[in-house]
Amino acid sequence: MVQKKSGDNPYRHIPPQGFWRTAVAEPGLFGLSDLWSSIWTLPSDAVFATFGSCFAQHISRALLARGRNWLNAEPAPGRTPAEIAKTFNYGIFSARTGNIYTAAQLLYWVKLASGQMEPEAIELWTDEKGRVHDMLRPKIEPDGFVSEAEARASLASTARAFRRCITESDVFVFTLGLTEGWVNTRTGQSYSICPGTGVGTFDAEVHAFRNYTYPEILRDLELSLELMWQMNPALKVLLTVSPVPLVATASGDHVLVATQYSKSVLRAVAGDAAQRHGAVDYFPSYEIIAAPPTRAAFFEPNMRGIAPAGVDFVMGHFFAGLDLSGPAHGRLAQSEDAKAAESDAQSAREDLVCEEMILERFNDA
Amino acid sequence: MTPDLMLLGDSHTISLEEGARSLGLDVAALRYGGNVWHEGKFGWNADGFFPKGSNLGRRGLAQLQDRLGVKNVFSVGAPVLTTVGFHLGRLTRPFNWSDHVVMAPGDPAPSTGLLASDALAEAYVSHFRGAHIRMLKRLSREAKLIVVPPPAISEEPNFRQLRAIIVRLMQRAGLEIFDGAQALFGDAPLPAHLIEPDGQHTTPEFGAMVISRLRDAGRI
Repeated sequence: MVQKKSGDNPYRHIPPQGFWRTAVAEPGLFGLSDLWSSIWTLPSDAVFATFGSCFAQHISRALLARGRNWLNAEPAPGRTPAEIAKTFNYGIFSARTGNIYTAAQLLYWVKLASGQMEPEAIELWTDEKGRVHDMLRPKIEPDGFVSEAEARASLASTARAFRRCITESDVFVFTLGLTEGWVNTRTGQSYSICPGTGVGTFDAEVHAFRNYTYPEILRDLELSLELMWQMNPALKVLLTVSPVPLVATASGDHVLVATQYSKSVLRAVAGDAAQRHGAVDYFPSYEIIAAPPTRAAFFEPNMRGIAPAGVDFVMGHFFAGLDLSGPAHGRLAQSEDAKAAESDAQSAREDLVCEEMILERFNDA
Repeated sequence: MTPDLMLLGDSHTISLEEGARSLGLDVAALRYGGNVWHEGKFGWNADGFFPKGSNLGRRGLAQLQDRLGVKNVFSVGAPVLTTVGFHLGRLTRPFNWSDHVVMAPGDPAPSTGLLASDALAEAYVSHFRGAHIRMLKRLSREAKLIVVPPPAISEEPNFRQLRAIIVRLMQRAGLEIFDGAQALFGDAPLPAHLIEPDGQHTTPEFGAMVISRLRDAGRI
């Protein structure tokens, strides 16, 4: 009787990256590779739009730094000094939405962009100085708007820009940040921050805490995706989860426990959405920062903020896995330089006319 | 001899100068192009205001100093009218690159383009015109200074809104303003015969109307 060797099994066919020893323990943190590989071959000049929680802004910066085609659908006016643009929250996300922390807030923006919801549906709050704030992005203007009309017009303007991000992008990158949020129990309005924490007035009768569950988040995300694909059937959506822990929790749990719960739920939703749709992918920014191999090395001393080296590390893996080998489609926005040159030429012509008028004053003939 | 009136500004002072002369006033003018003003090529020293980086500009100032016999030409006691601080084409052109719209009170919400809030527009204008306003404020301590904003005759988007913001900032700084077009015609458009064919500048007739109004009001 011939003694058989241990039989073939699926684990014999798994590449080294599927085993902890060969993929993690032996290479070490800085030897990690193939953490993510894009499921899409994108055009070399693929247009990216970025939104979500605060970690999403690192993706836009990294895309710009590498000369990639990041859509800024709501830029500051030309030649706005960088400090002013930053103060007014320009150039952080692809439109001036401010942080979109939850899937519920994403659904609001998608509905505004699609026309299913009007800016009038968004709650406004007037502070003691008479300045008006919209509760979907309460800190978008450092001192609020001058009037309700201006606040609504600004919401409509950003909704138009957000729509462009859906219709003109190849890849819509969205970073899920929180499960926790606050809602108005009478209107259903979802808030990006708890009313009374800087903007708004807290009213326990109306404002209620919500720790969105997995089914609720998946539902809001799926509704958002459905509407986005109605506007652009070719749109690809890349989901990430912010590795930044909660600054505070209203759940009653310890903030560390609440953070792990929140991130776990978001991670599960993102993973499931990616498995359900070929046009959705998941990039593991959360794991790259928070998983054991880093020994929390990429967190700032407060164990919350992400150190620049961590952001670079994440983005290194992002670009390593991105496949931009497809043919360019040529959809490039007019560069700031080209606009500046055109504008300067026109100004020079106008100045010449004025200078000539001034010089003519010396003509005594 | 001390002139009746002094002018400081850009090509928009020409109609004021010609208008004043037509009324028999003795006028002295110090005038530079919008690019000098916009790029902040001016300063202040012990002799008062001076243009920077422009030989022509320095010569113009030197001639005026010789004529008036003083170093600080704005210290002779004549009232000064100025158009400094506007040069709006240099502001509106880049501001409009991405189709931004600043709403005036009562305006309907724009259905296209991007809304720029009044606060953002004010911060933008302050950045580019703050030095001008500070210079005028300083000048106003040495002479009777009246800012005469060039009329909003351009159809360029945001021209009126940014002009209004400049005026607001100047008023906040305590500068005396005389908006000739507003005083003469209210909110109605400036009559076409008072606009030069270039579509940007006003005629000497308009300049004379402004000077007359100021004189009748005892402001100069």
